[in-house]
Amino acid sequence: MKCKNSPLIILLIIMLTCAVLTTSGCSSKDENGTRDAVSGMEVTSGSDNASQPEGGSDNTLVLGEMWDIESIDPINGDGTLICEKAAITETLVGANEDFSLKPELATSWEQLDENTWEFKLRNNVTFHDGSKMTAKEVKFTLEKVISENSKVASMLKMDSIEVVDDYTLKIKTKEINPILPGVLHYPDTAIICPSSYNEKGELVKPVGTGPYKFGSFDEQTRILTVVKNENWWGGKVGLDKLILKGIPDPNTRAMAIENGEVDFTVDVPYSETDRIDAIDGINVEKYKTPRVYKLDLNLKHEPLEDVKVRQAISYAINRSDIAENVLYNVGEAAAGPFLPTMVWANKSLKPYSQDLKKADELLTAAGWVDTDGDGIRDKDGKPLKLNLMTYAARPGLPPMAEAMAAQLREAGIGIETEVMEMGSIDDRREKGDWDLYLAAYNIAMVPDPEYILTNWYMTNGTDNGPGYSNPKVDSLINEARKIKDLNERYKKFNEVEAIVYDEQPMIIVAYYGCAIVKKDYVKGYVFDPTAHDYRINAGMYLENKS
Amino acid sequence: MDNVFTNRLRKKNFSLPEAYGSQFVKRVFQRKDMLFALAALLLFAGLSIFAPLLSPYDPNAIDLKNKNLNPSEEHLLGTDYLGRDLLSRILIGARTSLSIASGVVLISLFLGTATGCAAGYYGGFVDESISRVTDIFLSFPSVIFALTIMGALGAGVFNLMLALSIVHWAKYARMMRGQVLSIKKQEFVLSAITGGAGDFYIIRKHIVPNAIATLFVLATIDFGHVILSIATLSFLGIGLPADVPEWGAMLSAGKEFMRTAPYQTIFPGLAITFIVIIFSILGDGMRDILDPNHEGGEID
Repeated sequence: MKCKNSPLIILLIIMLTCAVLTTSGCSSKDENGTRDAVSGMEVTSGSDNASQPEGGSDNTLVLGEMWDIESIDPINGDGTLICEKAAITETLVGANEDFSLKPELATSWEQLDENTWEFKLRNNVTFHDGSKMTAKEVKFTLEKVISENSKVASMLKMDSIEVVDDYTLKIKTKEINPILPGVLHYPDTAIICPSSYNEKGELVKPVGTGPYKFGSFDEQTRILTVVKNENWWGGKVGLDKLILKGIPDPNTRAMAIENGEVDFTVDVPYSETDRIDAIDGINVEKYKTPRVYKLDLNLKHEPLEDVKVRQAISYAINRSDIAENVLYNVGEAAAGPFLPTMVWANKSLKPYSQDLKKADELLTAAGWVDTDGDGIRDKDGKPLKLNLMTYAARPGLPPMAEAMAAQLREAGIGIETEVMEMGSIDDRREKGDWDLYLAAYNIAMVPDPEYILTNWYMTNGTDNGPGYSNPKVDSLINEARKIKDLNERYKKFNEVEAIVYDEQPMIIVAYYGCAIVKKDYVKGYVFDPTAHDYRINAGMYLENKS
Repeated sequence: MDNVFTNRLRKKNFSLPEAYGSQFVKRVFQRKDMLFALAALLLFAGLSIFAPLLSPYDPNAIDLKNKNLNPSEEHLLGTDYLGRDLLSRILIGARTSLSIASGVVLISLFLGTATGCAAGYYGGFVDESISRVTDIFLSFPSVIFALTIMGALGAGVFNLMLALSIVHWAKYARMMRGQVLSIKKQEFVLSAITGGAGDFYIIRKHIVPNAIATLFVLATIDFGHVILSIATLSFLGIGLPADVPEWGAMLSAGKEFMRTAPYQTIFPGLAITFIVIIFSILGDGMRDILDPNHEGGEID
């Protein structure tokens, strides 16, 4: 997992050990200590310009990234970072706010026959090294992606690529693949210049077409610097320089923006958003991102096999209360797997609202009644006790698990929560030794409903953790994926959404939120709801930074 | 001067168990710090035993609308990030910490005494093998060792007790062995052997009663360490299941709210501090009292 021990945690452990010796001044000491640790890191890093630049003339933005920057490989490392957060590369296909596709490096695309696609490219695009972007480079990139990134390769299902002329490209797929343009929106498919690699094929630096070009990457401090691309095809670029620092701990990010170490960051602890927003010179904006908090139910276990029990669980959870008080409104109560703002979402679905009476009726009908008066329902002498596992890398998960456990206990379902490492979770899931699993999932890797619905709800789908199988769902998805007309296609997928909404093999609890925290002098920021976490847009600039 | 001398002489003539009896109690009462610590410990123990009766709310009942409250009349210590009553959780947490720590200390004491006795009394190959095993156990940093064991066993009250006992028993074994080695050479043991007493009889009647006092001192000091270890492990999120109220876990979950609602870290932190200080004072006091070079309550 990417989450490393932060200075704060280490400090708190030391505090705990020192508890024998000291009784006073805990909280204030800790705060200062962590600050020292953070600024200390900066001093020893020795990287140029990493500290707060002085004066308004320097148009440099320092960004506190939410993960450690471990790799700058645009294809098989962190395409999301290079494409969305550093804006070095761009994809062929873009996406609008409602997740419908729009031209980016490709101006248009067309499905010629079942397995052939034709892409027309923009003809005024140059790479950062000055060379023109043509079909040849696009072919180079996509072939490299297929050979190095098996995840994307399996989504592309590409057979061959043919360069028709400088700005036309023909892609043949192995089987019918209507989501191909959608996959080409995925950041790992962003177009790079062959000059990114040396003769041995090793990555030197990512050379793309985006508004910012690669400046430097310090292997020691893991600080990535990108500079303005004067010749960007899209127009004027707002910042001279953008410095990305990985700060994986939310508390540390909060302190970094408060003491002016960074100008822009995301996801400070949700509980602190109001406090930080109230600070002069800093503002917090809350958005929804294409990710959901969802609870997988192990359908192979007896109580959860029963659709009534699953519905009862859904009715026992108070989603809006959780969104408001556990997520501090960085997120929203959810109905189906897709955001209502997505063009293909089934908008008639409403989130299950808490209804303990209905839950009671359903559980009683399923045969679960509390006969021994211990507050936990039972059936044939077996108590209705389930375990709920989750992980801590995403800060909303553990408190959400605890809150849900308490809410389910009110409905007479005993829950034992466990916060585990990813490795142990995978292990337990492999063995089938689990009941409930709370996780956060991305729902727009590909801006199309097919990808998620196939993986989650098809019999033996790759992310079908519950082991759900419904022949009706399978056949609907199979029919829908062959339909070219988007509206017809979405209609079929809406039917699937409605079925799984009733059957609840997975309980979608809430939509994931993202808190953008920035200094008031950062202007021109436009949140992109299709980005994985957040996207840096070319229009961002600094105003009267002092 | 005179007094000290005669006192020392007198002490030489004590049979040890008698010294632990009335004299021990008398000395405890001479020390104000120990009295205070004992009273505080009794208070804590009482609170933890009667925690379910005393706690005003269900420690696991959430009330999301009333989260992160400051201390008030309704919630004497305030509420945590899910609106759970902090006082109730701290009381139940005392129960968790004290009962697990008692279990760990008892298991370690028993294991350590048995192996230490065997090693010290029989010597030779038995001593060599047991001593090397304790060396191995002592060579690991205790928290990391416990972390590894917990990682393998998974969270749970019993597993935590087991893991910490595995980490802690070797200390007792080593101390017991040292005690036995010195007692073994004393005249009353030699005479018992000459008298034809069996090994088990000698260990039970002569060796354990004379050595156990030192181990009790160790156990008292260790009690505080064990409570800290429990808190450390659950702070790291691998000690106990999330729904068992525990001080370390409360600290860990509350750290995110330290600047908006600090009470949920302050109170569990204070609770840990107090209980560890109590055991520290008790352990120190007992060591002073039982140390033949010290005189009663005063440190000279």
